[in-house]
Amino acid sequence: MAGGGGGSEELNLVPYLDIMVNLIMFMLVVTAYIVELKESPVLPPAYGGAPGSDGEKTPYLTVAMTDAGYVIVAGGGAEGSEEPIPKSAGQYDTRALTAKLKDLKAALPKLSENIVITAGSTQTYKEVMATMDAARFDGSPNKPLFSGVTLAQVVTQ
Amino acid sequence: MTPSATFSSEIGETASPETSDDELLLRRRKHRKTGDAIEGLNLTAMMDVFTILLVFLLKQYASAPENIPLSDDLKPPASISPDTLVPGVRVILSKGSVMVDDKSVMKLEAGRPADAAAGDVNAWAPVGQALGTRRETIQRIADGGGPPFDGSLMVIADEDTPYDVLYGVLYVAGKEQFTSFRMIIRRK
Repeated sequence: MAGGGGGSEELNLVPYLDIMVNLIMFMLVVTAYIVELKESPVLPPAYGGAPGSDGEKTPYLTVAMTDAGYVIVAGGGAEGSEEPIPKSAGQYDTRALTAKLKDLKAALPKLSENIVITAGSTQTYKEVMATMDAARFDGSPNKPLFSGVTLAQVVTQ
Repeated sequence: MTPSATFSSEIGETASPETSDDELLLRRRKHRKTGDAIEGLNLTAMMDVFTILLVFLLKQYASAPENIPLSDDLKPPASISPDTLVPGVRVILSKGSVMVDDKSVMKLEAGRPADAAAGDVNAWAPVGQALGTRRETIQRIADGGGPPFDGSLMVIADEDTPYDVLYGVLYVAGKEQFTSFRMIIRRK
């Protein structure tokens, strides 16, 4: 047969190698464009404030997300509430919240490192996460404003 | 000095004045073929390397904790939290369903359980059952020498999920001894 030869010829690996190289390049490029996912830890809810080392209640803050805006309430031996932070252009004012929490932390030196965030059925996860960020990070690179966040729910009658 | 004499001196061969450069090259090629010269590139070893590399990349990509199928129904919120992902039991709350470790356990309608009032934690019983089964499996594996159950839960929820829905899932997870909630976010 013309061109038959019948001899034992080696398999041509060049096309296979081309496919492999393209696949590896594709995978390397795709992994570079994958959405970067991280995590934000949340503490399980606990009733009452965390007790201090001397047996006294540690003061802690609660940020309540209402339809009108934020309401900051102190508990655990530092009862009281701050002026509400109203929404700005229909959005929660996270900058004002961070500034207010920073002031409160400076004013209350024994304040717990954990903060409680409450919301209701009208708030979305995105808004809660923005509030968590505002409570945890104030822009300083070394130490978070509040290291722990506990999620709680507003109980309506 | 003639060109032919120059080339001859370079290759270390003596050439008569009549020998041309072409003849010298031909002679040299013939001489090479008789020795142990490489006649063709052996691609088999390279193919092995590429195959192993490809399998490694595929395995790594499949088992990475970041390998979460995102879509229009499942878009986690953006955050500046810098914490890296740690693998664990996963609860996925999309607009259409709730999944525990990639197994659908509950259907949702517009992000809420059908026929359930807002804030009704009893509506999340199927999620609690699935998480309980998963916890028992991990504990059985731990009894056989595997890693212990650490109570951590990866919560991957759509950014438009109502808070009471999210809280309902966290509530039933807490009842099933999951005590460390890690909310998965998109890095800003």
